[in-house]
Amino acid sequence: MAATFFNNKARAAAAATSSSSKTKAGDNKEESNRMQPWVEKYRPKSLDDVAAQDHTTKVLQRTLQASNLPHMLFYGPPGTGKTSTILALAKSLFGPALYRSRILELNASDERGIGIVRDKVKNFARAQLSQPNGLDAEYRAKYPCPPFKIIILDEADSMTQDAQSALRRTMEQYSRITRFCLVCNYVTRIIEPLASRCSKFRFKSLDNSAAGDRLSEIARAENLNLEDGVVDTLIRCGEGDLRRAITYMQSAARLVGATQAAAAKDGDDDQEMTDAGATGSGTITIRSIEEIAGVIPDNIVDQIVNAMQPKGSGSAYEAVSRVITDLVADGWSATQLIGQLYRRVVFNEGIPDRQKNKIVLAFSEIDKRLVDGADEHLSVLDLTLRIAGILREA
Amino acid sequence: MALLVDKSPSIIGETSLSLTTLAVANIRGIDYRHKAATSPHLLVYGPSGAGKKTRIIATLKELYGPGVEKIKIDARVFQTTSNRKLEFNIVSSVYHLEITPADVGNYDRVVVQELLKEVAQTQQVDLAAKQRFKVVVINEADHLTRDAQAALRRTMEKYSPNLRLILLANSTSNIIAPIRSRTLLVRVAAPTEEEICSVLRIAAKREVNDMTPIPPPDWEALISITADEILAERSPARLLQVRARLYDLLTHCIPPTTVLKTLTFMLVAKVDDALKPEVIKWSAFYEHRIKLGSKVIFHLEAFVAKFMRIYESFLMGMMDF
Repeated sequence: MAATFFNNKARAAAAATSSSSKTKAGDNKEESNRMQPWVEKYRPKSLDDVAAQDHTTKVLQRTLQASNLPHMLFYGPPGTGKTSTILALAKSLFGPALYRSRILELNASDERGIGIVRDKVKNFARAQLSQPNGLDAEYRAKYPCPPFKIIILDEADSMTQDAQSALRRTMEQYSRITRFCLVCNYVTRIIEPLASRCSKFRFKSLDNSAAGDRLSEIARAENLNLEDGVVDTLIRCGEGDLRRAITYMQSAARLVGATQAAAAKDGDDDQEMTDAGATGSGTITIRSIEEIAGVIPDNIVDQIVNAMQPKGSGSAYEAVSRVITDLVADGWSATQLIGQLYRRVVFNEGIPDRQKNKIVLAFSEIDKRLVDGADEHLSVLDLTLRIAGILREA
Repeated sequence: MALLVDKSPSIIGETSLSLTTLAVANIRGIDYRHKAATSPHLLVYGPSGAGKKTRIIATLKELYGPGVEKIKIDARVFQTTSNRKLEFNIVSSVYHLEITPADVGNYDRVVVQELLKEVAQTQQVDLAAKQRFKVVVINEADHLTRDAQAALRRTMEKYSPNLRLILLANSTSNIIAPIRSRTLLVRVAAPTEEEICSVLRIAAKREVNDMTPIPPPDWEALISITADEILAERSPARLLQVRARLYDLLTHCIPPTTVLKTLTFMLVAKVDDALKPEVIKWSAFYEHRIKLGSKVIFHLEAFVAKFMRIYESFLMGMMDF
């Protein structure tokens, strides 16, 4: 066993073939696969598949070989692969047979008050390891099955302070047989004593090339026709969030392939899946992606920018308020608007730095207000009028 | 006799939907019905009265057939961790559920967790059903607390074969980013004035025999009077009178944001151009305060006082408010 133990690649390959053969096991499974969002369907199956995050995966690969794991804390913006990484790691450590008994996954959709931490988590942490009997040598060659359990606390930043402090001692006491993995967006919301017990892994925003590779890979697997530049648009709209980019792509694929699928619906179910992709002659265009992402068309933003420009002696109020009223009636999201407006204004070379300073201050205040739930119409109107005022000062 | 509003979807369906196809979002909504089998969750947003619900009902009907129209109302009792009992109403058909978790305020997380899991973990029983999944429509998703939204995250991914969510919101600003990245955003724009007029005209022709002019709602009239009063005299005594009027409005359950917005736009229309940005600025400022604070009247009154002050100093020729 020790000899094959280090042969990580072979093990991963074996795991991949076994899992892919399993998906073909029955039509039932196939169908539920088809219904899955692509985000789930293309979730990385092993650590090697995790896009970007080289540093983290390298460290984890090494721990995988050494068959020892510290407590871990994964943090980073949404859609960068935190949950995917830990799930992939857990799968390649234990394999399907042991997965259920060795992994406890709790996320924000589960009740995670202090009671649960004291009760469920502690009981799981305390339980002795079940002996993996009935596992043949082949299985052991594929998966290292190290002698500990893993508790995954997903979205840990939404746990209360009390619940977090209740974890402290539990983490230490049972560290012989249990490892914790905390996954969160904001490391600052994890209390210091917990953070200091874990080795931290920061997941950085995906860079464009890695995300692009992954997207084109999925596009190939689903037989999509992409217009030139669509991948770039997806990355731009996703803002480093791969999950968002994939969701957009799936929505767009459905949008353009809609008619074919409706026609194929009467026919064989399995055929539909391939048909929708292959004959989905509709090509995904940049515009369709932007529409799905809720990006405001450039000409509307242009209108706003024009309305804000100082004109003659009068105030810009009339022009600005007209555009904004239309915009609100059209249902565009205010956060999206200020995002796009920000990019437009701040990267405009024609505006002196002094004015930009003031404008950015206005943006910051309005953003805070929107988060607090203030009225969008008033807030956006205020913002644009302020910018117009600042532009006039020159 | 049915309300005209409930009849209107059929009218809208005949006219404006086919006539103007109401923006691209709309078309997408229709496409959605066809490929719903592979569809992700939906987040439908747009101003109120734009037809979000109408579209969703149409989508559901397309998905499941007329069965979705047989609805019943259940009252369920949920228990919080602190053993408080929550009464909660669920509108449901065999195929879908409709909930408004914001009704239970801060306890919406409990409802979201328990109810959605329960739905998600049961498979569709009806073999004749057109779809394998159930649909849960969540109203006022932008009023969900952060906790409740966080609770949705993993549930949405994990149980997607059995469960599709349709979230309804007025704006996406209050929806946390992880939810937005898991849903397909569908923007529903408000119909233009011409579209509204044409629908009204058709409805009127069919249903109404005699036309009587409709007076503006009395609260608007009251706010209009208040605005005139504020402009006419700026003094503490007048502030006292205005307060009485504001209280009157609030006790009649006019939402404070509506009061403030209506008042602002009435005032803005009547002041000098140079003053307008300033009025909007303070209006936005106090509207924010209303949302954060607990006692609404303070902020409404502060806005009125602020307005009086800047208007007065403007009249006296001082521009540094």
